[in-house]
Amino acid sequence: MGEDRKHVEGPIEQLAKRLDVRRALPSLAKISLLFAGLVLILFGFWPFFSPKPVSWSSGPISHSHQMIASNCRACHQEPFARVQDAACLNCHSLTPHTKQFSPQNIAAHPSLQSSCADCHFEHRGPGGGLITRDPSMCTSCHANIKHALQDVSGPNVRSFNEHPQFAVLVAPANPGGTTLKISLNDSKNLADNSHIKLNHHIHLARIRGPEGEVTLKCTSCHQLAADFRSIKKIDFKTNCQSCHPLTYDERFPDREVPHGNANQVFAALFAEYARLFAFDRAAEAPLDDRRLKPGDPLPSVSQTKALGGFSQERVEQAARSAEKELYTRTACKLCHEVRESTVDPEEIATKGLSRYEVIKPQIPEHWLPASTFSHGAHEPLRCIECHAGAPDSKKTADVLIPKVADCQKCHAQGGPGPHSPKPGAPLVHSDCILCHSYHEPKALAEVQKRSIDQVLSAVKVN
Amino acid sequence: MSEDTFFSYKNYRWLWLNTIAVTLMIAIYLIDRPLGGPSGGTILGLTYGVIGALGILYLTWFGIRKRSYHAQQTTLKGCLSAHVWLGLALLIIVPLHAGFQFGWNVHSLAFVLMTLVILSGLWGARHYQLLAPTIRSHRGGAQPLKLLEQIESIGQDIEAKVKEVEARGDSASFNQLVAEVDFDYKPSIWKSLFDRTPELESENASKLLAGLQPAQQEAGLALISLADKKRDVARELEADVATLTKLRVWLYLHVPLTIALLIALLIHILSVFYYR
Repeated sequence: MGEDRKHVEGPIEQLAKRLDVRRALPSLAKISLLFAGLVLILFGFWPFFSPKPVSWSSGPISHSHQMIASNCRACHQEPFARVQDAACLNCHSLTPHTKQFSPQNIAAHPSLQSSCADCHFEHRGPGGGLITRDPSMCTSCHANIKHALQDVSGPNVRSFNEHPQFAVLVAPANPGGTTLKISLNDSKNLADNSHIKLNHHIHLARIRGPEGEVTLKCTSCHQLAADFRSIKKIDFKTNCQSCHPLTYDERFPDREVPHGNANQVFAALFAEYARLFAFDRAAEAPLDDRRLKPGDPLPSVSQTKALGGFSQERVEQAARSAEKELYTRTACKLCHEVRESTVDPEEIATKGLSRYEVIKPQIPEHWLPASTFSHGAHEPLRCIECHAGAPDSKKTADVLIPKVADCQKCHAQGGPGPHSPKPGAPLVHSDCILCHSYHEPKALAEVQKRSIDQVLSAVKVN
Repeated sequence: MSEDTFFSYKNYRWLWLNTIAVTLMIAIYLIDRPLGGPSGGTILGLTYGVIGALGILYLTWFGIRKRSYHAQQTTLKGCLSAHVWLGLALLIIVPLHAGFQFGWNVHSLAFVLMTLVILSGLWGARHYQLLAPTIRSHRGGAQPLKLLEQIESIGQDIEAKVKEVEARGDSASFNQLVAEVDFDYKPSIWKSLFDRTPELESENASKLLAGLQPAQQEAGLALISLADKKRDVARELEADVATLTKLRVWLYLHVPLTIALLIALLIHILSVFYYR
C-alpha cells in the first residue's frame, strides 16, 4: 500500500477502506469455514449418526422393498462391504440357475460365482433395476455357451430373433426310460410317445355326440385353467366321457365302470353283477347272441331263459366277460395301450385283480418346461393360428406345439423380426425374461418365516 | 504473446486438450454397456469418478499456486488457463461418472456445489475479461483514495466560494444555486454498483444562474463548474469501486463453495464405500 500504516487513519482513509469489498465482507476463511461446517454437520455427522441416513442414499428404493427402505442394515449389513447374498436370502429363496457350475468352470470364469448384487440393482427407483430385462445378462454367456461352460452342449442364443428351434420334452418310447428333449426340427425322432391314442382329425370333423351330431371346437376339450395361463389337463370324466361312456352291458345302459384303476374296474364289475344276480332275476338271463342295436326293443322276461340262482362263479364269469369286452373291444383299447396283466394268474384269481393292464399315459403338461407361456395372454388368437397342424393330425405321435417361427410372427427382440407378416413393422418386444426366468422361487424354511412386524423392521431370523 | 489471455493461452492449448479428452470419454461412455446401466459404481463410473476427483483437487490447488511468487517451470497465466478449461470439462465428466443419475442426496449435492463453483468462476472470468482493461493503475486502492481526496478538495473550494459570496452581501439566490448543483457525497459500494451519482441537471441550474445578481454570476459559473467536476470525480470513483468490487466479489462464492465442495466430495466418497 502506498500509505504509511503507522499514522492514524483520517476519515478519508476510513471511507476508502469501506469502499473495498474485501473489507466489507467477512474474510474468505470465515465464510469458507461456515459453508464447510454446514455441509459437514448436515450431510456428514447427522446422517452418520441417524438411524435413517436419507441424504446418503444413492437413489430411491424399489417398490417391492419399500417396507424396509428406512432400514439400511437390512441389506448393508457390514460397513465398507458389498451387500452379501445372506442378506437377500433372509427373505428370498430361489433355485440356482442350473446344476452346480463345475469347479473347472468357476476356476476359468470366476464371474460365474456371481452374487445377487451382480444382477439385481437397488436404489434405481420404483421401476429401476431390481429385475433387469437387459438381454445381455443372458447373452453374455448364452451367445457363446461353450466358451462360458466347456462341458455343456447346447445351442448359442444371441437374441430372440436368432432363437434356436424349440425342443420339447417327450415321454420315452419305452415306459421307464428317460424323458427326451427333441427339437421340433428333428422329424425323425420327434414323436409324442404319450401312450394314449388320439386322432384330432376325427374329433374335429362332424361327429356323433350324446345328443346328436356335433362339430367339436378346440375349447370343447382344451380349456384355459383358472390361472389363466395353462391349459387344464385333459380329464376323461370332463372331456371324454360324455361321448365315450364306459358302459359294459346293454341290459343296463346307464351303468359305467369307474375310470382309472384297472383293479377297481374289475371290482366294480364284480360288485355290479353280484348285486344284479342277487336281486334282479331278469338280469340273470343271458344275453341274446345278437347284439342289440339302437332302436331294438329290450328282450322281455318271457323271451329269456332263467338259468339258475346266484353263485360266485356266475358273477365271476359275467364280470370277466365284461372286462374282456371293455379292455379289448369296446372301450379301453380305443384310447389306451392295453396288455395282459403281468401279475401272477393265481394272485389275480384269489385277490380278484384285473386281468389287463393299461400303460399309464404320460401326456406332457408342460412341453417346454424351461419357459413360461401364458395362453391367457394370447386369448385373442384362434388356437389354430399357433397349433396349425391340429385339424389334419391323424396320428397321436404328431407333436402339435408351435415352432419358433410361429412365435416370431408377432414377437421380436426390438423392432421388426425375421418372420414379421408386415415387413419392417416393429413387433411385440420380447427379451429373454419374457419367457425365461433365471431362478425359480422356492419355499422358505419354516424357521425363516416371521411376523409382519419383523418383516417391516427387517429383523434377521436365523 | 501480449494478446495471449488466460483463455487463449498458447493457442487455446488447454481448450484443445480438454476437448479431446472429454470427447474420448463421451465415446467410451456410449460404447460401454454395463449390466444394470451406467452408474458411479461400474468400472467406467469409478474410473471417471477418480478422474473427476483428481480434477477437483488440481483445480483447488490453483488457490495455492496463485500465491507462489517464486519462479516456476509454469507461468501463472498457463496454470490459470489449465484451471479454467479443466473446470468446464468437469461439467461433462461428472455427469458421465454418475451415469446421469441425480437425486436429493449428498452425492448430487457435491455435483451442485461443483456447478456453482464453476458458474461463479465463469462469472469472474468473464468479468475479468470485460473489466480488466478499465482498471487504471491504482496499487492497493490508492486510486479511490486519491479520488476521495479530490472530492474533499473540491468540496472545500465550493465552501470557500459560498463564503466569498456571503461576505459580499445577500446570498439567498446563490445558496439556492448551491443547493441545486452541490450534493452531500456519501459513497458506498452499493451506490457504486446500483445507484450512481447522476450528471448535472443543466436546465434548472441555468435558470437559477440567470436569476442571480450580475455581481454574483461569475461566482455562480465557477460554482457550477466545481459542482460538475465534483460529480465527474464521484462518478469516476464509483466506476472504479464497481469495477474493483466485481473483480473481487465472485471469489467470495467461488472459494467458500469450493471448500464446501471438498467436504461434500469427501462425504460422497466415504458414504458410497461405507454403504457399498
